[in-house]
Amino acid sequence: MKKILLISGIFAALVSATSCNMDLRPAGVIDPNESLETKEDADKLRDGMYNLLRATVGGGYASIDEIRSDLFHATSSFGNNGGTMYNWIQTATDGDASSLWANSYYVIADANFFLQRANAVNTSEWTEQDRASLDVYKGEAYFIRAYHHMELAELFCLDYVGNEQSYGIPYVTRYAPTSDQTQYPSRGTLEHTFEMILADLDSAAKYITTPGQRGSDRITKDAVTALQARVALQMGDYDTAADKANELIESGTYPLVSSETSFNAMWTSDATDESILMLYASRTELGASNDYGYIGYSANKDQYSPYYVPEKWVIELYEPEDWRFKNQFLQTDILAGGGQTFNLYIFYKFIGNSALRVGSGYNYQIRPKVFRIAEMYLIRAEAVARGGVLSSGTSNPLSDLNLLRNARGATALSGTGDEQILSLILEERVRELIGEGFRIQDLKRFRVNLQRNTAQVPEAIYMPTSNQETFEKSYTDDRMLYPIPQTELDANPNMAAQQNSGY
Amino acid sequence: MKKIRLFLTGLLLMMGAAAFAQDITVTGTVTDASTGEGIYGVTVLLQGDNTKYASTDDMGAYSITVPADGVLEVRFMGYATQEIPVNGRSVIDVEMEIESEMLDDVVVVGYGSARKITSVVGSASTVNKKVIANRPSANAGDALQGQVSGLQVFTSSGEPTEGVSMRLRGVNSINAGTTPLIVLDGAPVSSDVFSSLNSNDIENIVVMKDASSTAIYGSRAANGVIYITTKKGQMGEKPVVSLRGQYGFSTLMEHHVDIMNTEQWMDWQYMADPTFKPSAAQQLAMDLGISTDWRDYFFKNIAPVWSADMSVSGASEKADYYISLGVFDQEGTLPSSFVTRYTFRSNVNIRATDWLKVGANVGVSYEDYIYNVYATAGSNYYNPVFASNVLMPWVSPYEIVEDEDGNAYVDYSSEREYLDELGMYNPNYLIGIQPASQGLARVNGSTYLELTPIKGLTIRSQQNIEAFDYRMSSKTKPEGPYDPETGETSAQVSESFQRYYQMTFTNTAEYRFKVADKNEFIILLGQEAIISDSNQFGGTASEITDWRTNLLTQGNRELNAFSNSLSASTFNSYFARLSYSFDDKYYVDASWRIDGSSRFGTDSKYANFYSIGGMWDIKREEWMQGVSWINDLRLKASYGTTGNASIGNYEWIGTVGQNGYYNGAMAWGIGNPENPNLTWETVESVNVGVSARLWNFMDVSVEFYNKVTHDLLMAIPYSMTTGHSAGAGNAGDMLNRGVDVDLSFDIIQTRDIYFNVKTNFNYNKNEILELFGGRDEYVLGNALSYHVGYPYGEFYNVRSAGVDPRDGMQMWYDKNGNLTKTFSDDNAVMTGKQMFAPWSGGVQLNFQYKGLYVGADFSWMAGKWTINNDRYFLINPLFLSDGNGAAELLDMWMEPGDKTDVPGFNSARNFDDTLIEDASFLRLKNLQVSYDFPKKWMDRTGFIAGFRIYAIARNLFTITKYSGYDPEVDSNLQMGVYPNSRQFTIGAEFTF
Repeated sequence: MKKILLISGIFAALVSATSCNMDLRPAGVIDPNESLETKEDADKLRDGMYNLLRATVGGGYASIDEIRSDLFHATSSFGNNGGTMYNWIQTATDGDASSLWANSYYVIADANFFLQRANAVNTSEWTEQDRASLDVYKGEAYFIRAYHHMELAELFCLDYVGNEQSYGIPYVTRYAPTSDQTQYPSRGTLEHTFEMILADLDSAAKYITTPGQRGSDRITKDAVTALQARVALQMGDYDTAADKANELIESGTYPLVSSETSFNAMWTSDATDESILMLYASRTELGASNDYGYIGYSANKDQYSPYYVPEKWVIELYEPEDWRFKNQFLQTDILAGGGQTFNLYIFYKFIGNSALRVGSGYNYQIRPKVFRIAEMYLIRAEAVARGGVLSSGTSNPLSDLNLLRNARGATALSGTGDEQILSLILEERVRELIGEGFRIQDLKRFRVNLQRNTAQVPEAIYMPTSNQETFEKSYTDDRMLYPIPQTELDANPNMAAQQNSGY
Repeated sequence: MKKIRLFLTGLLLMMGAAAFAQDITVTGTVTDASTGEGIYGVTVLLQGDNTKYASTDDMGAYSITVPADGVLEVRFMGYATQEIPVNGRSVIDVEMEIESEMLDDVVVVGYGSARKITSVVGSASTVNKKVIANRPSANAGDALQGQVSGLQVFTSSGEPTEGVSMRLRGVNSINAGTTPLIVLDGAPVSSDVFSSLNSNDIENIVVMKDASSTAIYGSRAANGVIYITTKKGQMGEKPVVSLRGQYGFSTLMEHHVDIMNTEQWMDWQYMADPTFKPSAAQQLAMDLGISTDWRDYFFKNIAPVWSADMSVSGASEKADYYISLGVFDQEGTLPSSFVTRYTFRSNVNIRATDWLKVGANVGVSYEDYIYNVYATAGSNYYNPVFASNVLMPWVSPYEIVEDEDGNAYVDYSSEREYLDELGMYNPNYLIGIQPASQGLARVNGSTYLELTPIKGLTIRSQQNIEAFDYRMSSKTKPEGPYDPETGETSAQVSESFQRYYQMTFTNTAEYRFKVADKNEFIILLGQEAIISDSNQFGGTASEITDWRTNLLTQGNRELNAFSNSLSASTFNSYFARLSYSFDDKYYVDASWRIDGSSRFGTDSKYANFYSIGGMWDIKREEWMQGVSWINDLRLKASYGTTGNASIGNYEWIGTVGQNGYYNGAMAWGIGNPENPNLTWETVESVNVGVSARLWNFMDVSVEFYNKVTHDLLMAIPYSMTTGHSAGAGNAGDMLNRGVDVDLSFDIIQTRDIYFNVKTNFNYNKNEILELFGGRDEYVLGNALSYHVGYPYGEFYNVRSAGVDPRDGMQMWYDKNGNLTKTFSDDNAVMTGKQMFAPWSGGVQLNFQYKGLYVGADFSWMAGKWTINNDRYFLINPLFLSDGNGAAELLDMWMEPGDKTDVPGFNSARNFDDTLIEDASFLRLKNLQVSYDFPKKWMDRTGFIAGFRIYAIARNLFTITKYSGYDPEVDSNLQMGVYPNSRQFTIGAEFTF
């Protein structure tokens, strides 16, 4: 009996010992409420914002607007990559546009989180210098918030001028994830969206003290100015657009390149020339590539099989000696559908920086160039051509174009009259900005229809009968805008009735 | 054989009888009361004097010399101990009664000791070892398909390491797990256990369906409980040695879509473009008569499968044991797909003293395997399943060379590495230069200590561990696409390690007592704690330039990358159960359990679950005794709640975490959104059933159930403007209502012939009762949506309306049933077609004539629909310019007036309901023929006790309308899924 008691005693001890700790937290993560307490925390959260920004300034933001435009033809071997976009049959349930929507709001949420923590943190123990840094970081968060709302407004809203009272996009300034639908925002007007963008840019300008620097991988005062120029042009505030662009051009910090070698180096070795903001990248930290199967190179077979090739009119738009043409287009044999080969020009701009390659393969990666001075020349030209007046000094749209063309090995253009100048500007924007995601927005702003045209080699493209001259979309076509993702409308009753028309 | 004899002799010596010269000699035979056969190894001893004892021989005979007034104690594990006064007799024959817990038809319901199945108040079905043994599948769970009413089992791929998915009585949850809780010998384990068990080690599997039988498991029992019992040494037998060997092969189960050959492909090109001219390569292919059947090229015709195992089992008065080892080896029908598994099991129970019993069940397995990485890659052209359909037939995987005279011919001896016409590598080459190996060691072990301090009280403490150690190595050779000079990407080597353990500590006290003879009470109190812990790390090195130096340390150091994760969860539970029965006629069970989990929010970790159930054994009533055609009749009913916590470990916790690096510095960003209120999903269920045996020929059981899942654990969609697309929460209700029917007919029951037919079926109606945010519908995409009032898993899609013969354009119905030629997701409607089959069942035929046994197990599901995504690629002209398609495309609309289902070239193909196919099926899951050689013959050999040969076929045939490879795949859509296979094996089994 003693033994039984003994063993029963051990048993009782076992029972009481086998209750486990229920308060478990995941490893390697931080409690949000304790994530910003020191300057070092702020540094990490700041770099987190940059890391997200790097992934969202190019990639789909640049490519899906290009492949559905009138600049490219899908090849017969494109395998339906980007097919819904290219064929203009996108719907509210397609992934392309909805991932841009989700990604932008994710970056915005991250910036809002940072601002909330930065405003809440007790910095009384911090050094003066650290407090100043925190202010700069806050300015950067305002910039990022403005930048992504601007991206969304371009993708999902009508052109601003004349449509101020149409739907904008929800402008989110608070990080408070919840399933409570009553807390969710609605679209508001486009005017409101842009007011908020301007306000955030004012805050960014106020807090950011970082001086402009060629090829800066941090957001500088000049980067804020560049975004202000882009926004003002969009809003039809041509005076401001011209002034802001002018400020950057006249600062002399970002001279245009003067040799073909330097021009090529901008794109193939990320030379800092002309870059106002060029985010950091390395072999182990890559952004999203702007390439969308434009090259499709197999080094092993020395063979190109692109998904998309430039239309014939794009090739013909360039002078043969234009450095952009010589360096960013390549005449070669391509392998198309059915194992057939065709000789034509492919779009070679994003062949990538070889220093960012892993192994010998092409990954079409460069440091993301958010703002280049060339765009500022084009903005100043367009703003002035549309009646903008510089607050000091003068500029001439045609000479702006020719300054840029001179820095590209192209001959000077001539022309008179605002209409003609504007159409020259639109063409020059194609030459300079092709592949960077401006085309659809430009057609909306210039009120020019989208017109696909003759293929370089009709046999090489997908469904040649319906993708050449017969393919035309009005600049007011509903599908110039992307649909608000169906998942957003389903989750958010306050937006349920605010879908873009045509979807 | 010599060794086995020696072994047996040793055992005999150890247990051999020893006699002592004393007062009188008593002899006799100990037999099994139910079979009348002698029992070997029974201990007969003199009470109060441990020195005087004897054991029975093979015939059950014993001889012992004891005082004439002594008392004999006759003991044998598994039988009730008997005390027999000698009273001067010299011959005493003893009939031993099997202890109730050792009977074949006993089940362990919840914790506590086993009960006769006839006294179980809840709903439980047993699958016995005959069904499970010898199946030529690495996954023992596959054998359960069609065996239990209401249990749906799926093997969704032909990969030998593929697991099974299971659901019991419908889908109970949307985002949390739907797999029943698996309990192995008393220990809750993961469903992966099925793939690490040697199917021959399983004694039986009990499937518990209703709240009364499952509520005691509380947490995680919402989807039902599957209780696996492994074998133990059987009483009444000599030590038994079994040897088993089995060999066979697998073949592909083909789909039913006719793919174009070269000639048809060329015809199609002319149809699509009358100006089409074959290229030089195409012309050459036609001249050489090349028409590649890529399916034939990628899939093996015959992929071997074999297994061998051995077991030794036995029992003595103090102990029983079952020791086994086995090997199972299977190749998949695709390259780079195989498994070799070694299993070991040791089950030992020891009665240390009158009041103390201890034991250990330990199963260890080790698997070496590879799975074909491309076979899970959907519409990737390197996925051989997808490529089989879409690679152009005029391309040859073999080199085309020229002979001396300059005539081209196909050199079948040399395979091409690169297919220029397709701009891709030969998928076989590409997978061949990516060697991989995976190793998985797994242990399922439990030990227990059982005290019986006073009569009727059992205190039991059980400790269980489930653990695995997994290692994977995958490498790419620096050649072809990974060539350091010319490759597209760099050669990489990766090594990863994962270790997991789950420890479960269960302590129970059970007290059985009777009041006034007819009132029996069983009170159970218990406590359980579970700790799970997983950690993983891995490394990848890039820019491997030389295959001879391919270690993790030999890449470019700048590019070395690591992965690392840790995850843990805990559960704490307390439970109680009261069982009462009166006169074996009326039974009542009530249970209560409180469960806590680390997976839920600070203030909502704990939840209460309870059940109450009753049973009435009507046949035992006096007034039923005269009704001779009713052999058995019982009525049962239960009500209760169970919980579901099958979600990730930290879903409620808000986080900030690393999102990468920027310029070499650590970068942090927002992670998971917080929900401190996240709590248990619960299922409230009612079960009413009746079962009977009639005319001593037919068993029938019918059960109705109604289950409502509350507080569904959902990924509740957030407005993406919050920065998150969804967050974990509890919202919504869902209903599962249905009926289980089981019928069994003993058609012939004579001395030599036994023929039985069993059938079961289930109908389950699922309905979403309430959704998050008070909404009526929520569209998910991929033709799925949640609709209040409709089943979860009903397809929501646009209905096609045929082809307009005037212009060849596809037409659809809009929401109002009007024809339209514009495709819009807005026209989607609920189609009435469900991905989860509402009807399912099985039929089992068992025929025995002397030593010959034939068993056939059919399973079927009806009302199951699947999107055949493969077909989308085969009927879409888009993909034909550089791919292949279905021959039916040749019926394409060409000119006004053509009446056809295939729209014209310019009609864009969309994801409409034409791709939703009826995937109902009837499948002969298992066909087994075996022959036991007559015992007489065996006896003559002197040492072989039994010899059986058998042949088994798995998935022998399938009747279905589904045009893809396999209707069994448990998914809303199929895209390049590695198809299931068919196995044919033969085997032999010796027992000694």
